[in-house]
Amino acid sequence: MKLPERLRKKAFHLTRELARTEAGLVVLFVLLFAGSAFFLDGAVRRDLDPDTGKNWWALAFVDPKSDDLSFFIDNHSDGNTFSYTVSRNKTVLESGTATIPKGERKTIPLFSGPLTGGKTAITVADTAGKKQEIYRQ
Amino acid sequence: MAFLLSLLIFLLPGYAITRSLRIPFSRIEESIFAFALGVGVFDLGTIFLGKQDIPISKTGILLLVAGMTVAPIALRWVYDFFKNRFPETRDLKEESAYRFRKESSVFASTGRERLLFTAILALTVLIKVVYLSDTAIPTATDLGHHMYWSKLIAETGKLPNYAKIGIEERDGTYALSEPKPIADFIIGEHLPFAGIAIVSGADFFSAFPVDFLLLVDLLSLLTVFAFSVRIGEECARTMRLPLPPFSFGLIALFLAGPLFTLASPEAKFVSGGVVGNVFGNLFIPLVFLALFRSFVERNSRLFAVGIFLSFTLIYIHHLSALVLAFAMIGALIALVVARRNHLDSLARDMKQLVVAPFPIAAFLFVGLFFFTVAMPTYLEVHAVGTALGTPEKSTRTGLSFFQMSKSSGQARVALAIAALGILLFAKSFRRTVTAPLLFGWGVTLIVMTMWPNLLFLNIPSNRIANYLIIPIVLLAGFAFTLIPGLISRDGERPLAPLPGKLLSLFFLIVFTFAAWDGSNDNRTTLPDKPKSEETVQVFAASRYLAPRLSMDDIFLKDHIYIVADSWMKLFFMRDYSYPLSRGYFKRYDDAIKKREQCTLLMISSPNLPGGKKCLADLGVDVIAVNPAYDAAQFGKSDTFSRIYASNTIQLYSKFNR
Repeated sequence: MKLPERLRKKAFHLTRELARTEAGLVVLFVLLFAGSAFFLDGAVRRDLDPDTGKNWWALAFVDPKSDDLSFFIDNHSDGNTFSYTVSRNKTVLESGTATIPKGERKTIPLFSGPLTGGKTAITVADTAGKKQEIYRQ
Repeated sequence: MAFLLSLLIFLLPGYAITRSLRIPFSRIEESIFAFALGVGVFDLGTIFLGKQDIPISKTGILLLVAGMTVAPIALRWVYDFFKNRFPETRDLKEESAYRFRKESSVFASTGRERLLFTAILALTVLIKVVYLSDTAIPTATDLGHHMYWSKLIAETGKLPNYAKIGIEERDGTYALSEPKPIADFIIGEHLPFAGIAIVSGADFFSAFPVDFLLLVDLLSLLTVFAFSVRIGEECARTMRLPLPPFSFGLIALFLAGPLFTLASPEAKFVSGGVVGNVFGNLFIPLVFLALFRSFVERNSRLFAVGIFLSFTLIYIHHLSALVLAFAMIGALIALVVARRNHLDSLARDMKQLVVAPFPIAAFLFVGLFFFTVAMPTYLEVHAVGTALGTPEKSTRTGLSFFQMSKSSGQARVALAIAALGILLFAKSFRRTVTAPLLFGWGVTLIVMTMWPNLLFLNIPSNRIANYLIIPIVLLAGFAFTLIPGLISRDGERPLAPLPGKLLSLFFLIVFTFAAWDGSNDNRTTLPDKPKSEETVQVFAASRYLAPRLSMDDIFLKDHIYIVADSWMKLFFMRDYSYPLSRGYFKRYDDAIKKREQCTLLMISSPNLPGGKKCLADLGVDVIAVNPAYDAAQFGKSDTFSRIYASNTIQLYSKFNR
C-alpha cells in the first residue's frame, strides 16, 4: 500500500533528521541487532530441522521395557525404501520392506513372546546399503 | 519477533529509571544503562518474588515490570511536587546539567563520523553473525548447563536450588548421593533467559539464548565507545586534542569491534554460552563509566547508579564481581596516589558523592536486600574461600607476557603499554580522573593475569585474561588518539616535535599493524564445522527416551564423543547431573582432587569387574554412547540390549534384566 505523498515526504524528512542525530545511531544499532536476531533464528531453525539438508535415519523399539518387539524407523534420509530382518540367534524369523517418505516414521508391529534363549535382533538396511541393528537379550 | 518484544521487560523499567533520575545521559549511554538497570531490576525483583513464594509466571513478571516502570515515574512525580512546593530545596546545578544535555552533547557528530560509526558497527556485527550462523545451534556445553537452570525456573516458576547429585562410595558400595550445593552457578545469569522464555514462549532449543548474549556483547562494545567519548571529553578540558571526543570513541570502537571480534571473550563466548563473563564485560565498564562520570561531573545520582549496577553484578557472576572489586580498589589507590598532595579536596569530593540522598538510598536498598531478602548462593557455600589463596594448579600461576599479548592482541597491548606510560609521566593528566582510573584498572588486571599470587588469587589465569580486554582497548584507544597531540608540532607542548608527514606515516604503520593483527585473529578463529546432523540425532534419541524412563531409571551418557550432550538434560529435567556423565579422561587422573571412577568404568569397560560393580551398585539402566567410539564393548556384553540406533548415537539398556 503506497503512503500518501504528504506522509511519504514527512517520513523522508524524519528519517533524514534521525540519521543526523545520535538517536539515529541508536536506531541503527537496534536495526542491526534485530536483523542479526532474525537471521540467526532462521539459521538455527534450519539446523535443528531433522530433514533440511540432513541424511540420517534411526531405528528403535517402540516399548523397550516390555516383551513387544515392535519397532519403528524414523526416516530423515534421501532414500525411502528400507528392508528389515528379524532374527533370533542368527536364525531369520521374519523379513520385509517398508517405504517411508522423508520426515515420517513407520512402526512395524511384530509378534511378542518371551525373550528366552539368546539374542533377538532387528536389522534394517537402506537402499544405500547402510545398516542399523537393535536387539534384545 | 516475540523475542525482540520480550526485551521490553528490561528496557521499560530501565528507561523509567534513567528518565526519572534525570541524569544527563546521551542517547547511546541511556540505552545501555537502561538495559543494564532493567536487567538488574528484573533480577532482583524476581529474586524477591521467588523468596516470597510468589510464582515467577508470565502474570507475575508482567506485573513486576509494570510496577518497576510505574514506581520510578511515580516517585519522580512526588519528588517534583515536593521540589515545586519548596523551591529552595531544588538542585539548580543538576537540573541545568540535565537541560544542557538536551541542547548539546559531546556525542554530536559530523556526517563522516556517523558514517564511520555505521561502517565499524556494521562490519563488527557482520563478522560476528557470520561466525555465529555456524555456531548458534544449541550444542555448547556451558550454554546447555546454564539453560537447564533457566528452563527449570521457567517450568517451575520458582528459584532453583543449585545442587546436584553425585556418586559416592559408602563401605565399599557405590551409591547416588543426595543433591549437594554447587557454587558455579549464580541466579542472575539464569533469570533473564527464564524471563524471556516465560514472557515470549521462546523455546530454549532455538537461537534466543545466543541472540540475547549477542545483544549483551554488542552493548559492551557500545559501552567502550561511550566511555572513550567521555574520556575524550575530560581530556579535552586538560589539553588541546587532535581529534574530537566522538573520534576517541570511534577509534576505541574500531579496536574493540571488528578486530579480534571472534576470539574469547567476544563471539566465542557468545556461542559458547559463557554467560557470566559476557555479562561481566558489560557491567564492569558500565560501573566504571558511571563512577567516572560521577567524579568528573560531581553527580551523586550517577554514583548511585554505579552502586546499584555493582550490586547487581554480585548476583550475576561471582568472578566478574571479584574482578570489579579488585579493579575498583586498584583505581582508588591510583586516585589517592595521584591526588596525594590534595587529599583533603579528594576527601571532600568523595564525601559529596557518597553522602547524598540517592547514594544513601542505594546503599540502604543494597544492605536491606542482601541481608533480608537473599544472599548470592556462592557466599552461602563459602565459594569465596576457594577463589582466594595460593594458586594450586599450574593454570592458575599467571600468564606470561607473550600469552597475555596473544590473548589480548599484540597491537592493542603495545598501545596500552604506551598509554600507561603517558598516564604515568605526562603531567597534563595528573589532575584528571581518567589517568588514575585507567591506570589503576589496567595495572590491576595485568597483575591479576600475570602475577595472581601477589593478590592471593586462586583462579585460572586465562579466565582473568578475558577481563583484561576492556581496559586494554580503552588504554589502546587512548594512546592511539592522544600520541599525535603530544608529539605533533602543532601540539601545545610537544614532547618530540615531528613533522606532520612522518607522524602520519608512523600512525599508518601502527594502524595497519593493529588491523592486520586483529583481522588475522578473526581469520584463524575458524568456527567448528556445524554439527547439525549429529545434534538432531542426539535430540531425537533424548526425545525418544524421556517419556520411556520412570523416576527410578538411571541414565548415563558420554560427554566426550556425543555432540550437544549437556543439552540432553533439558529433555529430562530431573537433576543437573541427570543423566550421569562420563567426562574427559584427564578429569579422572586429577592428582589434586580425587574423582569418582564409576562414570568412566561403566562406559569404557562395562564388562570388567570394576564396571560391572558400578553398574550393579548404581542401578544404571540406560547408557548413551557414540557408536563410532564406544559400541564395541557393549556389543560384547550379554547383559545390554541395544534399544535405539542411529549414525551418531546408540542407547543400550538393561531393562527387564
